[in-house]
Amino acid sequence: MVQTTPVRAAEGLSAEEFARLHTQHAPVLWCIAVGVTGDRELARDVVQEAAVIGLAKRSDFSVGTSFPHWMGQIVRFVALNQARRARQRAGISITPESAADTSAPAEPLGVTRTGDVRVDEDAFDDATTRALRTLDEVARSCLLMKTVLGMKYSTIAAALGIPENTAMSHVHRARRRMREMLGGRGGAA
Amino acid sequence: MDELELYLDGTLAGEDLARFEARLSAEPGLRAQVELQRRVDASLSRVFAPQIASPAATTPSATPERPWIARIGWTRLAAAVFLALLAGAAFVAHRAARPERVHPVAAYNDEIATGFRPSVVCENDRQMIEFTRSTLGVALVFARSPDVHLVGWDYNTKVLTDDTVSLLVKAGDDRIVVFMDRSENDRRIGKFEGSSGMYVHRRQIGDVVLYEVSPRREAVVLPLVKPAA
Repeated sequence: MVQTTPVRAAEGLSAEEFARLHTQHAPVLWCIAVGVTGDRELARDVVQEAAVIGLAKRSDFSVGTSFPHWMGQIVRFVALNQARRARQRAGISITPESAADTSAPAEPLGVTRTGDVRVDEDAFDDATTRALRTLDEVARSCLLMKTVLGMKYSTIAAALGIPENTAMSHVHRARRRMREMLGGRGGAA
Repeated sequence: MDELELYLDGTLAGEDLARFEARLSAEPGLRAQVELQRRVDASLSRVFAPQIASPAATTPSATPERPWIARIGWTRLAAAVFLALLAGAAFVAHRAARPERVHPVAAYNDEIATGFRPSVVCENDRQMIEFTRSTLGVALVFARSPDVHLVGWDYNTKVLTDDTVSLLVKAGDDRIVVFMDRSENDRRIGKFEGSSGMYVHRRQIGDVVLYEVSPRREAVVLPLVKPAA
């Protein structure tokens, strides 16, 4: 989605305007939170906590600039803190790379009593989640914004504060990596 | 540039697209890559789709509670703080200036006068679903019609409430505006002085009420709207 009209500048950002912008851009902020944490439950808490902080700090927002970029930085900060707290609670060092079992391919397809192949999507979803965690934070966010939200590369780039070509490269490389891990040999066609 | 990735982006076109599709027919390995990617994309969408609230709001506030804010897993404290701030701000704003509601024809005229420019453009059905669900609490889609072009959305039209959204549409040479809000906010729409030549059509879809304003005697956009599956 493209927002073509900037927020009114004269009165600054009111609580209502903050709420409207946050509602409008919540899917993007969600993807940024999942990008950092790799975990949708944690991401939900992150978005909530970041919203309260953003509301209190809305006077720092420069009207006319990108709200998702500004709010995304708060989300990222909160997500990093949450991820650090989660690691401390677990008592072990968990990195995105170690969280993913890179040696195991996707679960093999089962066979039903009638001989049909059963597509175990739950197991595939688990494998997808593990594979996603092997990506770096920005690549995860780019991939989710492209795949789940259907965003254009220019919009992804603006939300994350990166060049458009970089956003595209992240998505292309991330897809290849996911396909390599989930049962195919990825690579240039 | 990786042709497979451009194909997955949906940006291949013309001869490049035809050539790649010919390769898909001839190369099982390439087809398998595409199928695998579709499966991965579906999995990501299932697992990481942002959760969107139902429109039911149980926490009283001075302003209509937005579905996104109600759903994204607020703790009671955070929600209370957020809603208290919103309620306080809204109360002050409403005491200072109680805006008159705007007749749909007047709001239509305003859109024409300000250039018929949208604030938000939805580029595909998925974005349309996300937008309508987040602003109205109901996911809507629009059937295609060759004569009808959805230009985009605008906010803050104040037709029924401050949250009424408007869909700007072009149908041939005519400009049409469809105002939408939750049906609980519906009110009796009287005649508008100076509205000769303009028509207002009403439709309710679930918990959403829609008012189409245009110079056409028959509704053009309302028959195209339906709830998303």
